[in-house]
Amino acid sequence: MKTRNMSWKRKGFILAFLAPTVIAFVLFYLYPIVTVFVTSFCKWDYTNITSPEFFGFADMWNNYKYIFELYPYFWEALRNSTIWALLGVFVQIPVSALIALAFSRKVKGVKFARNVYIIPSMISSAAMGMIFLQLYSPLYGVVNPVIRLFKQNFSENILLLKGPAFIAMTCAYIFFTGTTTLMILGNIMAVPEDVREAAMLDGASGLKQDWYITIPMIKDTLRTVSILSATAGFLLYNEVYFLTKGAAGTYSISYVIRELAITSTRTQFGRANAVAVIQILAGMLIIVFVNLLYSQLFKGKRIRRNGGQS
Amino acid sequence: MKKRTISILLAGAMTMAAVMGSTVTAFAGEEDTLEFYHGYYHDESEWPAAKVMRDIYDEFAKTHADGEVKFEPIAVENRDEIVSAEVAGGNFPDMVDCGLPLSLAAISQGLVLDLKPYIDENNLQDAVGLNYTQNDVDGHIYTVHDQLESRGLWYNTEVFEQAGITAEEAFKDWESFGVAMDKVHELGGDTYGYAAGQGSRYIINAVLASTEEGRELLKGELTPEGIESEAFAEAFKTAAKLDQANGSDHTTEDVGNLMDDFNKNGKAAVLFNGVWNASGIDAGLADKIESQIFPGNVSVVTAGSGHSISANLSEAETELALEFLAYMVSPEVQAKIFTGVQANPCNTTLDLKALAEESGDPITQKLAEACTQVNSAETVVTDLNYVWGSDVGSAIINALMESAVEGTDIDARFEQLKQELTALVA
Repeated sequence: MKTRNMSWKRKGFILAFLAPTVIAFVLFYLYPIVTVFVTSFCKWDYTNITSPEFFGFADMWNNYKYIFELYPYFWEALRNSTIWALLGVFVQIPVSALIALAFSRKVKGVKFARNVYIIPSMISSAAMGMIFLQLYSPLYGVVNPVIRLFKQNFSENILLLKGPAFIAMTCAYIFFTGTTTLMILGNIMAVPEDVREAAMLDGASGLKQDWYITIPMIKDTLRTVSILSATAGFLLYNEVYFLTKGAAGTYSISYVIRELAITSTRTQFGRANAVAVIQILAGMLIIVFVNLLYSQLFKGKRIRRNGGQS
Repeated sequence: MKKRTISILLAGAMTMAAVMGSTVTAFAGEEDTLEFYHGYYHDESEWPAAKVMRDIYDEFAKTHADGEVKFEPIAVENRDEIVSAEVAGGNFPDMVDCGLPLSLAAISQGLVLDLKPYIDENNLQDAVGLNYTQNDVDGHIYTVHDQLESRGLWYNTEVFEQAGITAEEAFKDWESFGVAMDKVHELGGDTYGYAAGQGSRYIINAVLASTEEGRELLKGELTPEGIESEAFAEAFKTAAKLDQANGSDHTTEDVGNLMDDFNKNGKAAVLFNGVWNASGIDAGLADKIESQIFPGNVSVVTAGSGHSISANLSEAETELALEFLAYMVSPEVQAKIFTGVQANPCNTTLDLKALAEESGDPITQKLAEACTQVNSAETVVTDLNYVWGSDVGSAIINALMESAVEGTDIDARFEQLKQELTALVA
């Protein structure tokens, strides 16, 4: 009897502590996601802003049809956001990992370099957008003079050239890897020193140690930062807002949502939420893709190692 | 046991705090105060006009400090976001001086007070000026802006002289404007024609204003027929060709980025901007810069959004809000707005030239000249951004900016823009 009482008390105790978090989760995560999903099937704009109306089963895909078939910036935005997500995984993370490996070496001045490297990460992406706007200015920026070394008389605004504008936008965020580098570095530092020493005794060079020991041992962190980086790329907004406002083929999914919900005087919440649902689903796909990618990558690595040993 | 009791109490307190937080906030706003949100939050050193406006509001608050309802001006950076958030929840702030066009959602939900009956009863038609006609929505007026957004252009007489052009030739029509800008371009060096992109939206506006068909388009929402019209095609292509000749290196989505080139450095020949630019001109250039309306005797004057009042206030609060509106458009306050804020006041009974002479300030005299020009233009039209919506405006600006790149096929870009706009207005 006493044990059962204790068990109930224990459960009540756990529930009491969990309650605030569960309530907050339901209120601030689950409820908005469900609302976004449900209202994406509703007529919800300036004419009925406080009372979204379900289109009915026959027309329930109206918002999606508009987004897929009529809205002029959706496919461009989806393509761009997907490329930025992929660049996050295939460019940002390798760059971060390389820098983290370099910072993990015990050489003179590395602590200072680490601190300097992290400074840009403290600047908001909005401020970064403004800085890059100056860098790309055709009148007083530093990029056009560099281009003129290869192409004389070049005087165009690169943020208005289709193609270069996308690259310029990508460069404005992709190399700012301070946070991911720190996360990877923290994990590298946690790799037991005796494992490295054992490898060293076996004759493994520094690079081989990194490739065969350090990277496999931090693969879970690499997977996590890859997901973070891919989703950050997929959700890119500030850079688009500050640099081009979508001109020259640089719309992003987040920017499109803003255009529909805020910029449009017709306050198209229903259509914006249809894009948001696609964004959520795409975000989930990104997580699955990164997980599969890492499973494949490290599966292959293990086989090669085993093969090598045998 | 003691520890466990404290833990349970803590968990309970956390939950209670979360629940009570919203309740406490709700009660805090229930004082008998009329809250007025405005956007003049800037420090005096940053923008002296903001202090002038705050003083005007504070004076009203002071004279009504002992009234049944208190008047509380609140300076915020995000007044439009506040309005959006309130409207999305089915509410409207007590009173707000809107920056962006008043939300259609607020009007359609009946959240905003119709000001027309009050204006008519108190014979304030001349005091609200252009608001009376431009902000009329099916016989109702939901917003009154105490300053008119009046746009023409400014030009540098020295650059014109160097290029061998006169204002008369340059502003005869858009073709001669293009020829004049080519001559400026030929000067070489850092000197260039004008800041294109956001600014060139007003070329479209002005070209549309020069034809009957175009003026009709500017009277209501953009329609698929309007997008396909000859007037629209002519307006876009005129602006795009001028922008391409001007060069993408002088193209920006925010004219503020290149404003110093005109106002301080004297590098640009022309600046498409409002009358308020008078106060931004550097003292060294003041005698070289003149105001002008658009070719074809056109100006773009928009009452735009301004003071809007919640429809759900108490009788006493509504009375105070309306009294404040009358105060803001009164000749005394309007004179302060003209001389202190350097803006075009909405009250049509003011003699701007006399006020400028009285002030003895050369900048105010320049402003008076510019205001008189735009107010008395043969054709006065509204800013297309207000009539067609800012999403349409952004699409047009983006198309113009892309057309500024050398070699861009303007016809093809226009066809793409038509598709974009047709989808946007769907």
